[in-house]
Amino acid sequence: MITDSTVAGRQPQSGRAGDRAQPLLRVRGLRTEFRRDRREALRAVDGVSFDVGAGRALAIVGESGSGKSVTVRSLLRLLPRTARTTSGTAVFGDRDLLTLPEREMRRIRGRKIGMVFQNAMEAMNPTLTLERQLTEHLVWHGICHRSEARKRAIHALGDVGIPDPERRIRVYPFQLSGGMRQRAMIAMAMITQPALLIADEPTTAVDVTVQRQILDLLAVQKERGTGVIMITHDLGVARAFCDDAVVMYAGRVAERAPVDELLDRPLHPYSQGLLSSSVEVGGRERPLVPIPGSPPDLTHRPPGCPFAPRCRQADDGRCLDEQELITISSARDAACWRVGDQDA
Amino acid sequence: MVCGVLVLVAATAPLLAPYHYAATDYAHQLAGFGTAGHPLGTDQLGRDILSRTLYGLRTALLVAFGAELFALLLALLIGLTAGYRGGRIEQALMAFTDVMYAFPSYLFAIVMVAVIGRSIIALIVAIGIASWVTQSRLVRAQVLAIKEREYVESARAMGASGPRIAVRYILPNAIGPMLVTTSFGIPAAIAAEAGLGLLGLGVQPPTPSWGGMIAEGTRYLLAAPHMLLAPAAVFAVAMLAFTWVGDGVRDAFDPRGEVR
Repeated sequence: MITDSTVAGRQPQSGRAGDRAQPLLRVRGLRTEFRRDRREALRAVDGVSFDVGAGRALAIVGESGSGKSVTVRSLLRLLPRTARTTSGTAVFGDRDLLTLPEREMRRIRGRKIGMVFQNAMEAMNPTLTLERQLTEHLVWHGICHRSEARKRAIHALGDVGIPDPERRIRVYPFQLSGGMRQRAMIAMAMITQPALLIADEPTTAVDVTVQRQILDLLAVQKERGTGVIMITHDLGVARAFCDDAVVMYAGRVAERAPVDELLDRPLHPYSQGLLSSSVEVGGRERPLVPIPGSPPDLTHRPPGCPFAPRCRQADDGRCLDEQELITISSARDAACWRVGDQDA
Repeated sequence: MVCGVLVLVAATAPLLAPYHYAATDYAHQLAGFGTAGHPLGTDQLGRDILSRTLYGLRTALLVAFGAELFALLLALLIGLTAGYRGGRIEQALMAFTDVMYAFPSYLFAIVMVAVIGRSIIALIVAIGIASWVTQSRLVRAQVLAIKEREYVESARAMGASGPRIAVRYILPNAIGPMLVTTSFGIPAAIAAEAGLGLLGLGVQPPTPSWGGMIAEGTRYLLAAPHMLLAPAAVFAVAMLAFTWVGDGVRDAFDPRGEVR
């Protein structure tokens, strides 16, 4: 349990001249557990830390089940009933999202932190027209009145390149094409001009041409100073759009690095495996090397490095110890003892 | 179409019926079809069967719509609360529903009528209570399914509060199937009303109900079969018509059917 005093203690003191630029969102030691019954708990997110700066994009990469989605849902406190964030801080602005009262949290969701989902068809209420879809939250949040909200909605749809927004605003989601819907959803997330945008695999369910358009739209937001967290397992998308990356494995951060450095010189054996097992568009032809084995059962986590059983470079002696992240530079660290040896 | 006519006829029964439903004509008792002034004949008290059938329609529809509306509202309240809130509240509500489910519905209706009396309100409550149980389980199942949909999460991510999500996101998406079952429930309620009437538990005579008329008709089956035929035929037509309405409602609530 985190007391208010420890949270306050960790908060960066704002307003003092000479402070380093404070990140938009500073996540430290985030830990989220799913309870199955009284005895068994599954630690889906285990001590995850990262920063997101204004106007910067962070990619969270990792395979299915590595805890990417649970991480961002923990931040927004949109977890299912059985899940609980047990420790950590997530300082957004000058407040810890994890200890805010639910009322306050509701004012942050949608208004200060927007979210874009993987499947726009699923993420829109099929019984509401685009106008309702886009304006309801503005009206509820008391940001503006209906008529003003309508103007903003038309503007937002135009902004994401939907032609003839005055007419389109009256249609239902199912009457739009897939690409249009995805754009409309971005418009929906951006209409309140949030400082932080969370995109959960926004390009996974769409074809490549739409993918390009989505990334361009997000890039525009980024240029306007919005911080972006993008969950993806597509390293190409991460390279094209993101500045920094966090590689997650079994609920932990395996490696944190600027995207270019990560892709050029991955340090953690898991990052290396991820890279050599993914297809790079336009890259040289090279054999795809799958990572052998499968991720560990998180209810019975083996001691030491969770990746060790699948690691080609594992060394029984050293991989059984718990491995903290080893810092290489201010922007880079990795959770593997080899990193410490190499760079020491 | 047919239903529109039926509802219209029920609403305007006092204007259409040639006689009052309780008016007796002792000159013509048990008169057959085509008797002058009584096209569908008269019953043992000389009451005009056409008039009584029309008024019977009025009773049937009033009870059926009332009961289904009552059941729908109760089911939405209980199902939505149980499905959305979850936890203890859900367990308590669903346990209550299961207990109610275990009662034979006709028996329950009989008890209700015996306790409250043989009024239209009593019938509405009795038949409504018999059907809200299945309805609220359906609502809850709908809510549970919809609650997991991404647009509900998306609404939460937009900062919507619990009640707002329940009313604005879950209810509209759950209501379609509910209205479909409700409209299929209407012929069932018409049948239930007639059934209770047949058992002598319908509305207080002389207010006509088809069940009661058919029950009386069986007593004079050999002497005056027309007494049974007219209400039974209209009953059959009404059942068929409202079942078709159910089909229509189902088609209308298929969202892809909207754009042609």
